[in-house]
Amino acid sequence: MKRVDALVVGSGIIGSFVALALRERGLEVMVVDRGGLAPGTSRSSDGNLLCSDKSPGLMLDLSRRSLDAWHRFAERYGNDCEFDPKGATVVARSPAEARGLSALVAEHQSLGIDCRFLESGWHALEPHLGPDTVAVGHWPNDAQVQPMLACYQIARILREKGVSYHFYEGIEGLEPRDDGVTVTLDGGDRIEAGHVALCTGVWTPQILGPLGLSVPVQPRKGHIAVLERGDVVVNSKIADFGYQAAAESTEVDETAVQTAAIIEATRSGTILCGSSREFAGFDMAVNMQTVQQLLADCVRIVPDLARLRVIRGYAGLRPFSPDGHPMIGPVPGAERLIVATGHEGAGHGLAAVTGDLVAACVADGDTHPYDGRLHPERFQ
Amino acid sequence: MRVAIVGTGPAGAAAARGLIARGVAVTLFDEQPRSGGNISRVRAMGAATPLETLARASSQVELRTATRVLSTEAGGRVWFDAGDGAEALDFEAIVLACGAYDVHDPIPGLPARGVSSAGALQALLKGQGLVPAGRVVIAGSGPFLSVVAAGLVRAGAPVTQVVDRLRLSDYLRLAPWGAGLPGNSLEFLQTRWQLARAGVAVRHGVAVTAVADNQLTTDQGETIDFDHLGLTERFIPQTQLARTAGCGLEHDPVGGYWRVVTDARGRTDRPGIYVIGEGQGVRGWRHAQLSGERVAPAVAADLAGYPLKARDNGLRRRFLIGFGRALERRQSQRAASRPPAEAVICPCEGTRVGAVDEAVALGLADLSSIKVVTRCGMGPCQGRYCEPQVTARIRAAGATPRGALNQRAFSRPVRVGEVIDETG
Repeated sequence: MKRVDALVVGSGIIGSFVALALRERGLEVMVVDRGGLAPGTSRSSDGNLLCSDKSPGLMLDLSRRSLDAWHRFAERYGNDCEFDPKGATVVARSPAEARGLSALVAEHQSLGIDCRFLESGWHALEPHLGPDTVAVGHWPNDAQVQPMLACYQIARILREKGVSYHFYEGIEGLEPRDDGVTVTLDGGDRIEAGHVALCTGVWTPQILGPLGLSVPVQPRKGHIAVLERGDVVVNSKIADFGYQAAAESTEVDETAVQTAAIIEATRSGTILCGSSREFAGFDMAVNMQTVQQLLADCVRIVPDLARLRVIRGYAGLRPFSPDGHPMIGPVPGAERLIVATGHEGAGHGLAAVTGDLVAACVADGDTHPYDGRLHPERFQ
Repeated sequence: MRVAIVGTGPAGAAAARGLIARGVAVTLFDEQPRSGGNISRVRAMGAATPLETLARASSQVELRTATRVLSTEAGGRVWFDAGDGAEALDFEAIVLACGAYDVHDPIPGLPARGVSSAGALQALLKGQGLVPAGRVVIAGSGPFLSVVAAGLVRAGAPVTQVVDRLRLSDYLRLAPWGAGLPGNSLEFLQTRWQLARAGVAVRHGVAVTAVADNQLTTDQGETIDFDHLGLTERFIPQTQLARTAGCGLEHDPVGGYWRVVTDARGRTDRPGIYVIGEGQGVRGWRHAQLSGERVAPAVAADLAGYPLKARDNGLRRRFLIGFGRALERRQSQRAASRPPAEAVICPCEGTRVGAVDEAVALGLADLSSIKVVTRCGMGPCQGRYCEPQVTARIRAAGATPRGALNQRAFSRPVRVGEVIDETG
């Protein structure tokens, strides 16, 4: 039977940073994934590392700390993942939105976050904003990353550090004890792990279910449409003012599809258009009406997008948490099982800090950071 | 009650005839301006095709040419674009008869000026009457090369050489199949006779190893000058629309491509979605036509909710499949064992073979993972070219390919303004 200090389940952005942080602490680590590299939510994600869409509070604190950790990552290992502090531009299209945006900028400024509110002159930042723009907020330090390249970069770093990746291996059984966890993979291999970190996003309840355990994460579906390279310049992340409200909403309405525009260019020149939010179970099918709706939202912000062509559309599942905060810490009832999920649409932004928090939990026994406000037991 | 048929080649046309004979109305979609598919492609001003004549005479047949199908859904919805935006229509069933396309393998120096697939030269000739000027070389693998070269020669194109990776002995081993398929054999011998009469050298057992602008190098160390090079190693089934409908695919290790899983009648694992012709595996136009004839009674029976009782003489079908597989087996045995690491494997994104091999070395064996880390398949062609090549790299590493590229929506690009117009 193979023995490791920590088995990380899931090779998405959370599992990648958790594995990296654990390895950097000197632990022997193994990563398993039932699919290929990051086959779940990271694969359908646009890689937002944003402060601009967060009200002051825990999520904003975590985002700032995580963004610093992302910078340290890029400095230490190089930037093979298109990590780009390109800034974010939030667009208000009515006087009421402009007042709300102005207040948000003032709050962020009072916390020492670099941002500003512009009632004119935004064309120097984003030349293609539409004629009904009333004001914009600009956060120059918000960033973007190419999620899959980030996971791939970390996988290659970890390979060099002797961490083995086992793709196409699901979890057949978990036997948690007080001093470790015996893991059976669906290929039959058994692994003795000191800790198991479940970085399995919306699929975490499926793994915990057979043990009679649970965490209240559920899938919140989103769509992205990819536009071809063209002559429409998009410099930063451009978001509708309504995007923040959509991203922070914790209301569970099974029938509604919320859309809110967010637009960004990728390094390869394609333009990603989001976003939608709905509770549709684990259905990942692309709904053309939703794509139409979100594209219409984006064209209201940047009308010139209408002349580009859509080359892809895809859907993904955000790990939604009932109180809007991630769940990071030991599973109540199985202290050697650590979960890291519930990041909703902020997983890439929060991945770096999540790795640090899980490593502190495993290596230092720090199970209740931030006064326990991330601990999964808060829902019990 | 109306059934959608996507593609108007031999398979789609046969399915249409079979369905209207059973009282089922059909709507045929084809992205080309005229019906007929690649095999029976006609010029814009040419005489009416059989399907066009049929559509004029019968209200049961609706023909929508110059119409691109964007995606299909298992519930029977077809999204399409006839040039003025995305539209949807609902049908009782969808029959996909989308044919195949030809590709070459990664060769150092490609992409290069003057190089296209042999099929593209054929399509320009058939569809637009364009005869390439200057020296034409047709290279790659298989009898299709001679067919294209003979067509070009008949149109007056100066074809200088046909360079075929297959050896004469490979063709002799296919002869027993040819005896059972006199039509195929006669066609092939005719093309060879025409090439011989025109003085076109057909070289066997010779492979192209590098290409530069207007010059290729063979594995015999010689160089051949060209103005147009038509390069085709093999055919790949057009399966993108079946993927948008969520149909299950399986990897065909001999053909080196993903094909749609169907029963002997063309039923897929998605209710109401049928795949006929090359989508089941590349077996040629005679098999495609037969599969169209065979799907019609199945669709009619499924719609009416009774079990299909028609007598199933599957002998000819099995024979055509056997021949197609035998040819692919010869081709795969002669295929280049390992493309050089610097050769471009994804022309859209410029990804090289070495980058794909690095991802495979990490343990990745599914196309989607390799795509997202190497960009292979992210370009405008959406993996039509590189997917089979990447699959070959996975197999070369001794791993089993674990899943084709997923293709969920927008099988072809469509303008944003046209998409959102639909919301009104």
